[in-house]
Amino acid sequence: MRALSIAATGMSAQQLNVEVISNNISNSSTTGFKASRVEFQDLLYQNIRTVGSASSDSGTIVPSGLQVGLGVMPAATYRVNTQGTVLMTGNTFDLAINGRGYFQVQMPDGTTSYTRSGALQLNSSGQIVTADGYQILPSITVPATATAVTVNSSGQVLATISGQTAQQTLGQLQIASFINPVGLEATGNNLLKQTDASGSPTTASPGTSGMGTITQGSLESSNVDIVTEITNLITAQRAYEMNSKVINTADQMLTTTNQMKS
Amino acid sequence: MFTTSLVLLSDEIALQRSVDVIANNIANSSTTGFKRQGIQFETYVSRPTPRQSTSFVYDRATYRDMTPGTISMTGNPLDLAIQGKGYFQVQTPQGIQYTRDGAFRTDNSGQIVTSSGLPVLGDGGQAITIADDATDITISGDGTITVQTGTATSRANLGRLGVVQFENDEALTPTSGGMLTTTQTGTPVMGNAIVQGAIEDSNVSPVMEITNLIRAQRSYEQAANLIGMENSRLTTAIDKLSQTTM
Repeated sequence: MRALSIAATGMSAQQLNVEVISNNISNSSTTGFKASRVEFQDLLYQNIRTVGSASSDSGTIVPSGLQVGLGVMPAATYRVNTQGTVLMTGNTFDLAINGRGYFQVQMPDGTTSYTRSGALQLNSSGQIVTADGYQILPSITVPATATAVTVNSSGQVLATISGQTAQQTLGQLQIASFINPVGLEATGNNLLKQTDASGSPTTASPGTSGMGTITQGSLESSNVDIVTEITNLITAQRAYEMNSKVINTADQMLTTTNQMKS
Repeated sequence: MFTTSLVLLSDEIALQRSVDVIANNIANSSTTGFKRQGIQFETYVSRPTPRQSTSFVYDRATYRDMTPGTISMTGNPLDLAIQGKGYFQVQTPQGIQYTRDGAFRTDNSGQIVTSSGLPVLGDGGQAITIADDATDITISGDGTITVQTGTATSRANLGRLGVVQFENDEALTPTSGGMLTTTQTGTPVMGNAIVQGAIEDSNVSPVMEITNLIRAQRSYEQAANLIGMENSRLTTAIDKLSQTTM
């Protein structure tokens, strides 16, 4: 009976669905996190009687064939790139991107990663770094004599130096955008990596060429909607139960067959 | 002499197949744009002699139930659902195929593609490319795509998605991955068919499928019981008849 293996594909698909939902829920407070969704597709079909085949030699055709599908497969997981709510924190180096774009992060191995999480800090030499201590590109160093740092909406970093009246420009933040941001590969720690699917990054100053703007003293919260996730979780669990019911039924039918000649 | 058993056997074979179809429906209860399949049984009448007739069960065909699925909102600008009849056209290596699964995205060159990376075609059979610096993608009800590029004062029109419908939905053959093929030529759907930021869920109704499953299982048991009873009737007949002849 095909029903056994068909229902098994259904169960494993729903299991993956629950795993993705649980990751979304557990990251519902992660800064800059984007919810993922699993996309399912049907598997191949077996044509037992082909649609459109002749049913007589006078040219009549079968209006619909006999086709049995062989189950379901997860096609892709899919980041939902909607804007998360921007929450005020008041911290100088908490930067939220409002719109398109990612901060560029210099990884220890020399490569560049991308992040929406703007919870930044200064390291011992005054460079702007992520929570893991990785440098933000282009590198900006805040002098120890700075009393206040302002990051404006177009990404200019300005500092008030003690003893000076005019603000000093320390640098210009650049953000990167991708033609297909869904194609970026998540590597954990809020970081994303460029792939063949994402295309190469275009960098620009915030607020120019379609890039988002920077809001200082704020963080972009996770875009996970708990109500949606819980609803999806219930649906996934019920779908899992239904598939197990099919396996049960197929099993009972096979038992019936085995007991036929009693 | 074995006619009874053979009739019941034809029933069992058909019921097994219908359980396979129900299993596939349930497995695809979360597949975007999936249409449930139903199975049709038919009587096959055999007349070995003019005065005798035996009816066998024959699983004649499966059909796609074209009831619309629930439209669920996702918020993704490239998730599209079709209200009413119609299919998106997709360029595959095997030629143009059709789908109702509107979970689209852009690829690394900005083309609108399906989740398998196949280009989605516009009304002129062209692939549609969204520029890198485009923001605020809007797809209207008739499939017209407009974007805001850079600092341009007016919105750029990128063309219209080609949604087509067919005379006979049943004559579309599902391949896999939500794709359908047909030899029919489609007619463009006009009017407000597309909902942006939403996908069409599978139209599988759990209650119906589970009920059908139970019914199939019980019919199967009944047929199996009858085969058992027929078997013991034959055994008894052979026993009794051999005793009288002795």
